[in-house]
Amino acid sequence: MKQILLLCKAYINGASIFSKGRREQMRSGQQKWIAPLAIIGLGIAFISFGSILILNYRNIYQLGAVFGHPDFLIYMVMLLSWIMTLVLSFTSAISILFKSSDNTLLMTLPIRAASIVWSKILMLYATILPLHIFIVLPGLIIFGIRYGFTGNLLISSPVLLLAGPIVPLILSTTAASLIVRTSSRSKYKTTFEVIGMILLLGFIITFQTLLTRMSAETITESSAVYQFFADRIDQFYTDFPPLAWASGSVLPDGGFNLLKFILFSGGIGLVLGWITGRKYLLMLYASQSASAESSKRNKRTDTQRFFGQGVKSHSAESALVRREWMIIKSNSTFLLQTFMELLIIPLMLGVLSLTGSLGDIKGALDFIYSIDFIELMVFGILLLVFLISSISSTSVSREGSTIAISRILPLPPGAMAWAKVRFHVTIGYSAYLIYLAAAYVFFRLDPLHLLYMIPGGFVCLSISSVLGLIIDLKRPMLTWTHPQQAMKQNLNVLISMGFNTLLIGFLVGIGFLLLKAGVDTLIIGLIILIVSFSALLLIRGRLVQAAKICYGPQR
Amino acid sequence: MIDLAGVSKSYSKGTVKAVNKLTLQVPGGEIFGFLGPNGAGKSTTIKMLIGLLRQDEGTILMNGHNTLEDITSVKKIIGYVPDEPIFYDKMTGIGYLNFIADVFGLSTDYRMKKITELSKEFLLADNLDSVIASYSHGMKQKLGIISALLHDPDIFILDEPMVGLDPKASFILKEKMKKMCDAGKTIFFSTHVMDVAERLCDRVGIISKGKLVACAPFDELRKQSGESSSTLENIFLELTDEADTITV
Repeated sequence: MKQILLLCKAYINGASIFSKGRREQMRSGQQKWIAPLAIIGLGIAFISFGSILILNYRNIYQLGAVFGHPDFLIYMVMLLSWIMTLVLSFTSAISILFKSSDNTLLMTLPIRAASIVWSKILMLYATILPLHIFIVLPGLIIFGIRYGFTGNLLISSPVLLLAGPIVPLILSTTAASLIVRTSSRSKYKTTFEVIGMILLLGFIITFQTLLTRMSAETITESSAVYQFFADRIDQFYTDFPPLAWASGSVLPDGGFNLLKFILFSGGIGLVLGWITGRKYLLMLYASQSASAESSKRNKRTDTQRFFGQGVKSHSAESALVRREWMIIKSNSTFLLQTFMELLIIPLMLGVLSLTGSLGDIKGALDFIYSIDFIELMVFGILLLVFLISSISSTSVSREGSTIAISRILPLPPGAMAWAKVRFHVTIGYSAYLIYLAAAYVFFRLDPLHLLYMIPGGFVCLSISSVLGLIIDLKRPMLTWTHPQQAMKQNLNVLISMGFNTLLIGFLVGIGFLLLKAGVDTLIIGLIILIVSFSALLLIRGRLVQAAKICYGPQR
Repeated sequence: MIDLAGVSKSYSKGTVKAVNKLTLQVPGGEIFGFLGPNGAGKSTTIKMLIGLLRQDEGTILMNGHNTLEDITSVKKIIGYVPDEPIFYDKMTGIGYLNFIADVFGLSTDYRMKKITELSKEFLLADNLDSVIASYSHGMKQKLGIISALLHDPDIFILDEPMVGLDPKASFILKEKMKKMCDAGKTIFFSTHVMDVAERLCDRVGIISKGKLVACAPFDELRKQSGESSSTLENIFLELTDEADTITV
């Protein structure tokens, strides 16, 4: 236990936002604007998502109460939190437990594997806990307001808030450990890890689909509706007892349920944590020796043949663009995050088509077809999806310590920054064009509108990339212990999203005003294109300036 | 030619003077050894030479190019070997060398010739298609040296280059430095290994607490010290006040 606490203290002091270095960085003159901006960003996210949650929670409580399960709301908030925790903690688990740069140091110290694993699980728990509280706390409050703040609710609330994420967290840790274990000796380690992550996501989506299908079948006869929902809700309780124990614990006779939930969470946590810990060091050693093995396996003696195959020249700009891809594919966390962002539209559509009923989808399509500015709307949705991305706003951070290489390359800093923009726009715009083509066919868009939609996507993606990159060039997170910190836990993503939201808001504002004034939608699109292009011209100089500071001689 | 004129650099808002009004010229065709105790300002000086750090005052000219005004031209003519080699670990050795060659705009034929020649010379040819993560420290150091020499730099700057190299590689590197010197190139390197400096350098500079306390050929330093049998180590300890510390 002492070792675990010691390690946790070291992580907090050495690799978290509470470390002295990070605090000093925040306090320094250049960083003073970060805190208020981050607070605003978080505030907006908190209020917007929070209000949606509260609205839904009130309806869910109502539904449960009608069918004799007032605690159904607690069941559903716990389920939502478990799914979110499973999805989000999985990549974090791989990153923190297996990819962390401090592993090499920890392996050399006289620390038990179990202590390392438990301390890292605790860190993982600390990163996921705020999200769990954000989801569950409003549910508990709404339940209390509607049902009454009973003694049992007051006793179970802290347990549900603090012990709630243990089960999904330890499940995703175990899954991560299994995937790393399977792939650690493979030459295609990163590919294996990404496939594993996708399979897990597939499993979660299927799981959610089954749940939704259970509750969202279309009932034609109104007399059967009551019985149907009553049966389905009962089925929820019998199918997933741990969640039934969690929700039952808030009811007046829920003491025994609370005990069962605590024992279950604690038991699962201890057993799976022990299993992960048992092979942890062996897995780290295996991954070390796998590198050495691959080195021997790849050894060729015929150097002439090898050089003949291996040496191809490219322009400096092309080499820099290729390097961006190489940095992303060097790490499964970076790779998965990039793919997820590019494939967000098919993923969302896939989830919707799996979880929604055909009636829902038809209703949504009918609504879209009835809009007379459908082209502008499709354009706006596509921009929204692609502009809110973390690829460019973490581009410099992803370089980490290898930024030292960039800083001694004999190329103007602007060229290096533009190579990054070229890479981000190339991958983003390729996906944009595919989705635009699909939307064109599916929604039967007016071909004339492609006049602004095709170049507009390019210009707006360029602006977004430049904006994100400026932010990351100004305050790159270069010292990270695990890759997760560079991409998913990077404040630059939030700041960039804030700027991009403002950009979209600005463009939508222009569009809205012109629509109100009765301007033709094609003209509106073209005006938006011109405005976006002017904005790009305005900010491009700032990119070069920021690049000079980041890649030039340091103060 | 390396030309530093009144170069200073401070840290912690001016409270720590890492380099203090350093003036120094290293002409082409010279191997210059830069010595000093830990924290004396050697690495800071080197980082300013290669454009990683901006000096607070003074000017640095590398073959006439100002490091603050024309840093890209400076980077084109220098080859730099850092004390701690940093690479894209997931790349193969050949991938990394190709990347560097692309950035320097080297033709396919030229790079093939240079990579073959240098990798054979430094005994790394058989490992070039392995990922860099699997390299030992010495192998990484060799890769760093090869990548720094790939574009045939006019000025070769090395920060503690012998650390991690096996005796053979160390010997090869010293021979390479001599050859480059004979070809009129400027070699500037920092080291803690006095024997190497004594035998290899045309001139040595000793820096202590940010100030250049001595700068001359070794024989001249020996004369200045007044003892004809003095080794560079003795002179170094004397000049950097470390001899007293050891006696105490």
